[in-house]
Amino acid sequence: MVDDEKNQKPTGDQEYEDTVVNIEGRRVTVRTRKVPPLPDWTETEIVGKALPRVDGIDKITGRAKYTYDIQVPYMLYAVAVRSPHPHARVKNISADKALAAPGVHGVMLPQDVASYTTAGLPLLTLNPKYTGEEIAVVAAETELQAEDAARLVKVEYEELPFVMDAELSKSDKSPVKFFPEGNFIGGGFGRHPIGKPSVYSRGDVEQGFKDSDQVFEETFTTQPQQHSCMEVHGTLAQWDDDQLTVWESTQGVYGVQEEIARVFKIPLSSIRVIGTHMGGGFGSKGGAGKQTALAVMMAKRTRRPVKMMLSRHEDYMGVYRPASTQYFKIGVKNDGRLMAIQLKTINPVGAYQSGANWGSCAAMTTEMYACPNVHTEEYAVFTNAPTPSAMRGPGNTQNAWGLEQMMDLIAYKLNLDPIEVRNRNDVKVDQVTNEPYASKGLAECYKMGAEKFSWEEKRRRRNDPAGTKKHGVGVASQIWGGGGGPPATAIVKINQDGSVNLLTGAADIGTGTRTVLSQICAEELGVPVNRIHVTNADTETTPYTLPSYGSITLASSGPAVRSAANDAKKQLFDLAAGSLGVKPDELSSKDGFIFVTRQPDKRMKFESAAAGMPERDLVGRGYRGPNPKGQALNAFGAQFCEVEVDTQTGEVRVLKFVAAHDSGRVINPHTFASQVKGGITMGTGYALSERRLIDGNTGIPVAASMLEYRPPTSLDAPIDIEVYSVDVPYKANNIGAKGVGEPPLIATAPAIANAVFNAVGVRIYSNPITPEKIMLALRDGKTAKQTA
Amino acid sequence: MRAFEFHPAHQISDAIRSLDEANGNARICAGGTDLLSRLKDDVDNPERLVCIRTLPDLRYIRNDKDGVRIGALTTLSTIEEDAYVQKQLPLLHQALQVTAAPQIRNQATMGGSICQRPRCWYLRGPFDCLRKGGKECFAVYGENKYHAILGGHLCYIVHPSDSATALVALNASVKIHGSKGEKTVPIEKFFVGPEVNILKENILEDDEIITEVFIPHPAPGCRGAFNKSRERQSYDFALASAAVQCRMSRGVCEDVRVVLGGVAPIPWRSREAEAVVRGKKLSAATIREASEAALRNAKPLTQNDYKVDLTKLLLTKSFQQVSI
Repeated sequence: MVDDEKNQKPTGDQEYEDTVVNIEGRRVTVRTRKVPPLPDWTETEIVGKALPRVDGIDKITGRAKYTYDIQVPYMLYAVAVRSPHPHARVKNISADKALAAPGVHGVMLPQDVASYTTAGLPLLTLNPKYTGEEIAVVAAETELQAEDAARLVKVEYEELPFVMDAELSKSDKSPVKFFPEGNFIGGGFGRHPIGKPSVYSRGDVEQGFKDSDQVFEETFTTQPQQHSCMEVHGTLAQWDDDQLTVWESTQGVYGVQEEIARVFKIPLSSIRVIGTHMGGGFGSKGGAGKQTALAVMMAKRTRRPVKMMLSRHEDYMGVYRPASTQYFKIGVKNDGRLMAIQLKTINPVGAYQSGANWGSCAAMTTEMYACPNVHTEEYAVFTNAPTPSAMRGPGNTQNAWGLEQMMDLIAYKLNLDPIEVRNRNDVKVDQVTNEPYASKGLAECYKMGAEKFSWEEKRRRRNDPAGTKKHGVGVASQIWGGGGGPPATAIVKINQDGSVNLLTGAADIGTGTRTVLSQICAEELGVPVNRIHVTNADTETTPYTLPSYGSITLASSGPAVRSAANDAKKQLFDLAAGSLGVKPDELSSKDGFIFVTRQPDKRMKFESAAAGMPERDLVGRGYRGPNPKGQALNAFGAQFCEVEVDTQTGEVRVLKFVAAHDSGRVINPHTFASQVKGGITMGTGYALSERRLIDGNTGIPVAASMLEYRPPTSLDAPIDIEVYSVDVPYKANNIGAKGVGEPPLIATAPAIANAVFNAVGVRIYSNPITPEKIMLALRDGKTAKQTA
Repeated sequence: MRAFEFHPAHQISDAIRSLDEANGNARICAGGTDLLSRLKDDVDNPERLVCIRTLPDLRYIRNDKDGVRIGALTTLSTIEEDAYVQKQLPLLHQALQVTAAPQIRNQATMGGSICQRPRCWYLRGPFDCLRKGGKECFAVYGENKYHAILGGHLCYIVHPSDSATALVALNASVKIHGSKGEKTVPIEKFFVGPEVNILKENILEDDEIITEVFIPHPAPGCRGAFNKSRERQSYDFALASAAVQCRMSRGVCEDVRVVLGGVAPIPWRSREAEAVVRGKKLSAATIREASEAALRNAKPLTQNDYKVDLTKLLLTKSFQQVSI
């Protein structure tokens, strides 16, 4: 529990201090212990190597067990009864027939769970505010019996007026009043009054526009985006007397454990949450879901283990990245310097206040480019739609669609290279906090990316005017957090045979966490990576860590693992020093040997030292220390893209991507590259094909399947993706790494949009860039302004 | 998915009897690629599935003196890989190559492919629409980007099958077995629009199954082309498609069949376009005139007028390909 927690006074001689952690764009202050610094790694043996994933074989052979796969004896399946209406009142509800149906062990109705909420949402409701909201839950011996019984729960609804359109909801003509003070609230975290937007301001934008040579105004819209995790959301809950075990497909077992303890008022020690293997989260599995609490309660009620996995259809009716409308006004000097930015955003966030946390997207505009005068105004608007959640690069991914196209548009208007415009507005200081960036390799990203992409040469190429397939190139940039921070603890246990157990609470949400943490541990101990066995994401056996969100995992748990390994190593050196006849601080370790640093041939095997441990094992502890004071910790990147646009059919093919990212030290080039390639693939879907759609007339989702939602398949991913790290030194933590989970998605969609513009001279202001939008834009100049 | 009885049939007569007994509450299960998703989405709830995958002898591609006979259980990938089809029926081959994904083509059957239900998301969602016996078409004022621009009548579904579009262009016919015996109907007569039956896309009765598709040998000088546009390039249903099968003689189009897919409730034969090109050389001007003629009566809904230009373009491409 990080938020707003009042910290205890330190006792004993352990020193603590406050430090700032940037999580999904919000700065959270936490108290943390000071950790002795470790020397910078200079030459590394294992860190930086493109090693295969430690669990790769398990995953490709199907041996890795995900929550979806777990079966326990006497397990029941739970299925929700969901509202078929976007807004209604339940007049009557009867479970009699369902309870009498074959295999049914329990039904829970809203009155059974009325005193519980999770993330500000009712678990079950008599007043559904969106289609698909949970009304009741049925548990039966098979999934099909549960589905059948769910249809037998008789619910009588009184249908109520609903509103799907954010502009209508925000106006005084809205048929639904969500709160007496209005239908919107300030977007983003923090306490905002209902009926007022959240505002950020610096300088004087009006004066800025007066001082500008040119002013550009454009409106961009983004569609909602779905996470499309390969593993759907789900929970298996099992009680043994008062001890609860929960298997959860989650980004953070400790977050889930805390939420269960809070909701049900039971001690943390009674709750074990396991999430070792999980099939993707992308922000949608940051904590406990409604199904977590419902499975736990149903298991208690039926005295049987209960599994509640959502179907793909339910998943596609659930959480998502909210849509946005972004009204931009930017004033520039003729040399490309930004003088003023004004941005208003409208973000529909569903029917509950907690959705407003994600109803904000202006942060990138306030930080990305040097600009003295900035004013942003953000409206999170309530509608009769499901509640959104975090999604990979929340806010910045929406905002980049607008901002990075604005920068492109400005470059074309001023007849400047889009990279030149960006470089002229480079800034070394976070303009919101006035803190200097601990490191910023963005200029290096432009330089390296442009060179690898042959940017200059490709920009000079001209299409055959008579041809119908036009090539175009585009660039976009990104900024994100990714500095990580405490709390994160790791334990390294050296066994008497020299094998090593690494215990970390961190989830591996598909990013390769287990692999890179093993590499860090092996590097610090000086043993091969196959000596390390990692156990992760289990609250009973692994120590506390924040969830894997905000690209914080590597830069949070990585330093803790290094510290723990160092602590264990020092203890082993104490034992080895005697045998080698030197002092412990004269020793080093590498390749499975402990040796005298100045006399490397004086050495012993790591396992020989371990064999001499009187206690038969030893345990090293490591904590993530504070972030450096007064520095902004951010990851940067630039992506270059080449497309081919068919001017007749409007079809877009992404031919090439070159991505250059500044993430500090790369621990494993393979996992680094797969993060970037995955981000670009996801961004290609956001740019070109994905469309979550709720029918405006009925408030019912109509594209809730992989077929209709259209995420890219491997064949739709860009044909050729090159990934580079600019390797700018970063010293804000003891491994020198920043996170790279979210950054690769942020720049992708606008890079594609900019390339489309370069190819055919029309700008597409709303994603996805479907064939018909290009056809209409080319046919009908009205819908797309010709600028080139 | 709801519970159902599963009846594997070992002879055609078993299958027909089993269907007949169920009085409209049975569905035929062949490849299952369309049926299972309908069951899972709870938009079709038959009491019984009559499985015909167990029938012997319906997997074949046979050449005889009249044409090629394709057993109803032959998978799309088998047809796609067939040497005769590749050589003599390029139109069908091209259509199959862009139909669904390879995994689906390995499973989906010839008969099932032309009996697919439409993809209309109102039909496949919890909407009490006309095609399900309800009172309204939700697409008219709703999300109709993928709906019909031709042949709509109260209901605006588009026929989803690429192979159906190709087979109409190839003048195929369909052999049907039922309680009353066996019959063969030209495939054009097999499909029916909403003005004839708003609940069904074809004439197949509850107790009937397709056993064979017959395609006559193309006359010498015949050429065919199929072009399709889709939103997701890896696999997707057609935004629109255009099939042209044409017999050319000294540069002149002697006979022609033009069929449009993805734009109408049935594979849409455009006699207007055929009339323009028949007896003429396929000059750029004639092709343009034919494409205009094919779409002259198009009535786009609120979100799909892009289909008019797109279909003209695809038809132009197909004409150009057969004219070379």
